[in-house]
Amino acid sequence: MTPLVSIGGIHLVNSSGTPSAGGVATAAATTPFSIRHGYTIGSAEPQPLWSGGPPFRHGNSLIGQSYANIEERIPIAVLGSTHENAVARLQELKRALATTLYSTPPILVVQPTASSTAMYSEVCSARVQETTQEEFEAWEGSADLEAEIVWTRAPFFGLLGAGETLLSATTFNNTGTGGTDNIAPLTTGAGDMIYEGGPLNIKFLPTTAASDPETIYLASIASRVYQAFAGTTTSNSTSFISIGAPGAMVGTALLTGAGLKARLLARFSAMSANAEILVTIGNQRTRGVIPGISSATLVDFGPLPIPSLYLASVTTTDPIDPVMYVRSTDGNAVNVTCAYVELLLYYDFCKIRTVTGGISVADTFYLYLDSFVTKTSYPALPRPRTRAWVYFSTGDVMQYPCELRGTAPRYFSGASLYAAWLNASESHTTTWAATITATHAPLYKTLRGSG
Amino acid sequence: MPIPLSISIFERGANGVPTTDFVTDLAERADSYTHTITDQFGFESMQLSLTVTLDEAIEWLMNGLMRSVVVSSPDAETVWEGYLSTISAQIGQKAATLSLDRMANRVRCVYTTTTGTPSVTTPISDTASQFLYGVKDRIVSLNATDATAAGYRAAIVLADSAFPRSREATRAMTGQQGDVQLSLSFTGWYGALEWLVTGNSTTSTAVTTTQVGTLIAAYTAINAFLSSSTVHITASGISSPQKIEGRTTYREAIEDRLKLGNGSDPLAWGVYEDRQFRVDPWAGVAPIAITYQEFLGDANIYDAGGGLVLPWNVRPNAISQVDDLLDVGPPGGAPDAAARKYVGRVTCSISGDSVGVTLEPSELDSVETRLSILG
Repeated sequence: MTPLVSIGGIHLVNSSGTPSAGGVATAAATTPFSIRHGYTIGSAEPQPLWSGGPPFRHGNSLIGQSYANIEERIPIAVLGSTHENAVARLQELKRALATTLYSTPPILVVQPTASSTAMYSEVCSARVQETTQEEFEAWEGSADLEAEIVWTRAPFFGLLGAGETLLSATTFNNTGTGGTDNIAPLTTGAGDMIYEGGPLNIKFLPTTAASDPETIYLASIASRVYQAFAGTTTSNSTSFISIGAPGAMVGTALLTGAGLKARLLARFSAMSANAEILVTIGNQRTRGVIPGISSATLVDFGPLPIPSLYLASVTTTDPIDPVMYVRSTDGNAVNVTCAYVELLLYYDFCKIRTVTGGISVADTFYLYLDSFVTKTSYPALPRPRTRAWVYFSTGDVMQYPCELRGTAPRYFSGASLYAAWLNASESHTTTWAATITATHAPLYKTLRGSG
Repeated sequence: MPIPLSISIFERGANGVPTTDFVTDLAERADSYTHTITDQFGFESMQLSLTVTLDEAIEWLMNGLMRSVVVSSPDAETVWEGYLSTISAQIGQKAATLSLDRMANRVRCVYTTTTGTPSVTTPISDTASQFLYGVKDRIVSLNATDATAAGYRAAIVLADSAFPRSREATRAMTGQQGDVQLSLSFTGWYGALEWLVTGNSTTSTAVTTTQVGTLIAAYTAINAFLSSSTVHITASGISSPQKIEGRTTYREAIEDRLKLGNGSDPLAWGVYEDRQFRVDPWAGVAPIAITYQEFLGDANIYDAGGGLVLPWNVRPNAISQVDDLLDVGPPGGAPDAAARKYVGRVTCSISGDSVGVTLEPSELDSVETRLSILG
């Protein structure tokens, strides 16, 4: 057996082990191409972002990292029946490598010998240069030519198809408690990027009649702590007054979770438009939030202002102990009653504004977060940025682009998906339900194996 | 590294009013990003540069001015908001720039008659421009003339300035042609307060911050760019005459009142999230209350509790201290000392290989800062 290597449909390795002189390049059994020694599949070089360093301290801290495209050089040979035949095969290869700006990028397929799995990448830009062969130049007319492909390809390999399903029409209820609530664990994903964040496509289909979500919160979380809390006030004070503390909440994942952040959300069963609410953690406080409505709602207080607990030497078990404060913005009495708070220890958090009026449940619209490509016979590779769209279920017809703020949830090993949503009035109802399907695109830096 | 922010662009609505009609997120295309926020403006300026196709450059030049932007952090917090005021496209050797800066679509002429009597023409408008961008005033002047001539002058200026103009020369030269680069310059919504003029003959006094709320309401009645909410306007506690000289810009009128501070200390103000006007106590009042901590061996900014503050979340009207520098006994009321300073302006810059923030004092020393404010 031989490995399978093809680019843009042109096979570079003959399955018999010997190139077929004058053969057809689009089939592995008849291709006249071969790969010379010296081609190694490149691993995408990480582009680190360093912070701090000498002369003020030893070492630098890694605070960010991503991957750039890879340039690779592939020495090849082509065995034509005649010189013209060999040149024609090279032209066929050149054309196959030039489709990026015309249609779709040429797809690189690699399947090692005796492996049952292939991996796929896309070539962004390439050129083919004939080279000297045993002191003979290509223009001298031989039917046996050598050349070098120089291509720039995407940093990762992926798989064909729609990715692996981590959640399949899983029911979410719009509440932080109960047998079916607003989180679901993502099943185990594959690939090399499970600790760095793999792309997730998410389909959010609201199912409760007339719930029509306009604002949707989605997050990939390590954990969610739910705490019932009935803090309430009808004060008219324009200075902040405490309505109590929900109770200390566990945040120990922050001790060893370099990529984790803490965020607080609170559901209020009663709210008035003239209320401003904030939360303090020790001597730090969140920004004040003015929901501006007079009905039950969910308030996002944003990332918590707590020091980094990462690798802290001395810690307590329940380090996050918030106190909630309320004031009146106009001197009139407020009517604020909290129902519960949720502490999210999250990797990624986003807020999506769908369309004015919300996603129509009656019209069977759904929200789709598109992070990787899922076209037939095309590798599942990440898009430059996650796009959010509203679709009409019948025929999956694209309707509107949506604003996505924050970071779309990615797959991390052991993570769960969190969802919460509000309607066009920014009201929150705990009996609303939705189904969510999440698919993950495994990505590979070099060889895939069976994983 | 990619720009780690969401840069959401929304269509302009009728009369330039910002809408929620989402156009695109430019973060995936941006090559570099810079924003500034100041303590007496709020969200001040933002520049994006991106490499685009020719068709995209043309689309932005045709339709882009007055589109609004909301920049969000990776944690979905608002980082910056404003409107697109200048578009510059470098297409090979050819440059095309359109800007709202010198546009004016409502003009009046202040003149003196031949006998020295001051007067002013009735404002004349280009309604087509106003429907696209909102109302933007300009006042021109003539001496020793009459109403008819003053009217001519206003009409000429209106014809010349009613729509955005190009400010670039094109070249035709040998040499490298270059690619297609787009530079988008956004202005914070506070800048739109210079667009309209106002006046008030009332001589009685009123609380200065109450007057500011009234001015904002009056402004939004013409250009509905800002929120009329006053929940974030901290009362100054002092009063001043309500009289405003005719043809004073709203910005000047507001600043004339806010620069009185609370009678003993300055105030900080600006337009921030959700296009709401804020007036806050000056952080320099209590300089020992440190907002941000900096360290010599660390490129990060931290809050007073030691929590990491990402560069795009740093705000002005704050006290920043370099903790490694121990200065002994600075005067209690001095906002700036050897190791600490009042932060009047912040600049966040993100490019392919670096992310950083500059914290500037309220006294402007850098040429860059002065030039950027002059626009």
